[in-house]
Amino acid sequence: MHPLTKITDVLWELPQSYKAGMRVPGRIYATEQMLSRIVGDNCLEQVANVACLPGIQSYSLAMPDIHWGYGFPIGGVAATAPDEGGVISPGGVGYDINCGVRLMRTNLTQEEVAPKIHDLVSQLFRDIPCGLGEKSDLRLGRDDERKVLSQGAHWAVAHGFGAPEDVDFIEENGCMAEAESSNITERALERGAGQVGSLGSGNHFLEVQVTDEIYDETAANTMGLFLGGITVMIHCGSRGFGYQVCDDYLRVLGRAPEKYGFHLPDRQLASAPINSPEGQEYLAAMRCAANYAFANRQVLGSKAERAFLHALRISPDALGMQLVYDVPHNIAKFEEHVVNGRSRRVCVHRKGATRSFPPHHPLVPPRYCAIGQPVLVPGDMGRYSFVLVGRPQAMLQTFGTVCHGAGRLMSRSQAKRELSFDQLRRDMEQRGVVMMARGRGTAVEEASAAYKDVAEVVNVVDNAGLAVKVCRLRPIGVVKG
Amino acid sequence: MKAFEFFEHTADIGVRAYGKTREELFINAARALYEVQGRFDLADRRILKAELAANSIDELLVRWLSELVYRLSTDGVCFKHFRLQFTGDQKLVAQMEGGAVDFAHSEVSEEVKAITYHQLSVKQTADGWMATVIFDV
Repeated sequence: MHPLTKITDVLWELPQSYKAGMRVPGRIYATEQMLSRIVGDNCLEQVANVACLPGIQSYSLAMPDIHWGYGFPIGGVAATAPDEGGVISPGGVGYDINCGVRLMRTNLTQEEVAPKIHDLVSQLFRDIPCGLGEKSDLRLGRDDERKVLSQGAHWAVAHGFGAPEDVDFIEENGCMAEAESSNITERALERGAGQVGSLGSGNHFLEVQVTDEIYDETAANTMGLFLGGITVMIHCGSRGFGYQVCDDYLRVLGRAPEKYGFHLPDRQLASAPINSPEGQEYLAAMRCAANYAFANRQVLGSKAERAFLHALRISPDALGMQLVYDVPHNIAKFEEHVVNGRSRRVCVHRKGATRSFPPHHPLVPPRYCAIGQPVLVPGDMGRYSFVLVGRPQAMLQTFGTVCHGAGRLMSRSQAKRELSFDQLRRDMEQRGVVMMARGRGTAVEEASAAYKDVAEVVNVVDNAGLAVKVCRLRPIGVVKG
Repeated sequence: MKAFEFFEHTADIGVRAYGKTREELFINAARALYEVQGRFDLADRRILKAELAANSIDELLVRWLSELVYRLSTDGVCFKHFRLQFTGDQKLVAQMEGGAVDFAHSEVSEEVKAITYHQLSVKQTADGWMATVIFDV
């Protein structure tokens, strides 16, 4: 038995009475079949803990890819109101600040690329530093690094990485305002100096993909996606810089609950009131890390384009690589949402969750105005990823938010126990995927079998009306850290 | 006495470390941190010193392991030998001996990116000390 009340086939409520200190109920988007795993993973406790945050509005929300995280569950969403003592929590953003996904389309077809896929993946693996110990070829001086922190993707464009129009297709236009680099420690600056333009490790990846199913022809056309067409997806964040910022501010905000007189059930939920010096300092530092990540993905996208041109020996016009969209899924931002019938400015924490704004929302780029904001949901490296677009229900139910990925099925150690690298390589070959990985352990942990089927996850948000599926992308080449 | 063992965590890696003394506990936790990440050959030899302080012993453990994460992430330096001395309940002086990792000749398994506070504990037991900590990978 579980303590949840069924609202619809894909929505469940955790009552406010579940745990002392909850200020709002919890709401979880999932099918009944998904629930046993969610309950077993101890995620409900984390949904309940988030509901204890001062100033939280409406619900502590969880997306269908929910799994156990630090403080917030991965897939957790919470909006807090600054004028009701609402808090900002680094746990609601995560260590990898502005971890996110970028999708680029090309003119190329699978038939054109398949014969050269080994050369292409080798070129990408050579040109894109990934894994522990691989530094970027960009080593930034402090002045340049501080410009990255204040300018985000605009810094990368100004230094020859990508086209000026790219920033129109990045959430926040690739730069969060009010980033304050004087709030950044020397340690974070040092850790970030050599990592702009590197992929990192863990679940980060670069994939060469084929559009293999289309559900919404109009939306796909608008994004330049077509059946059999080649795309590139990059999943990466703010690297060691963001980790260090989170680490530095967990220490600062860890003392804030006592100072401001509130109690939290988990130390990793460390928070400070938005309208406090500590809260403002963290927000300004978090925005620096978000901008670092925007710059990082912009540089990585440009490096990927150059690798395609070099490996395939074609012209930029023939390649036709263009940014479809770039979305953060670990971030906190101030947005206007209707709460209890009244439009309010709230701080939306998305910890492993993606913004999903509907057609005609003022923050959706003009090109996508009629179809809604593209939502990029990567799956695992053997199966597929999905592109969706936001729908009005997301504004009404989830502060304009949906899922961000598949969610793990096996723990990392279980995956390593049950699978081997050679087995993984054979499996990937059978699926027609060329994989190159720096760390064997990481690659095995990221095997398909270790992840839930992302199709089940996106079907939940599609059925709930929060976003609608546009197309499916199947990997044919994978670069892993 | 076991030096350390790993336990299941869905997205990351949990470690239980043991030691007869606090110093041994902290050294064993450091060894667990490196074991998760692979087998590192060193290209040179370096000795570094660190003085760390925190508000509690469990936070001090996070500070200690975070120091090692930072050195590996920033300078590519891994340490193999340690001399630790507690200079107070929550103060530590560490001398670490190691060197720059020769990544071309090392076997990298994965990267620990942060030491979390989630389920963090450092306890005195009948046999000495035990710590529970989760590494973000």
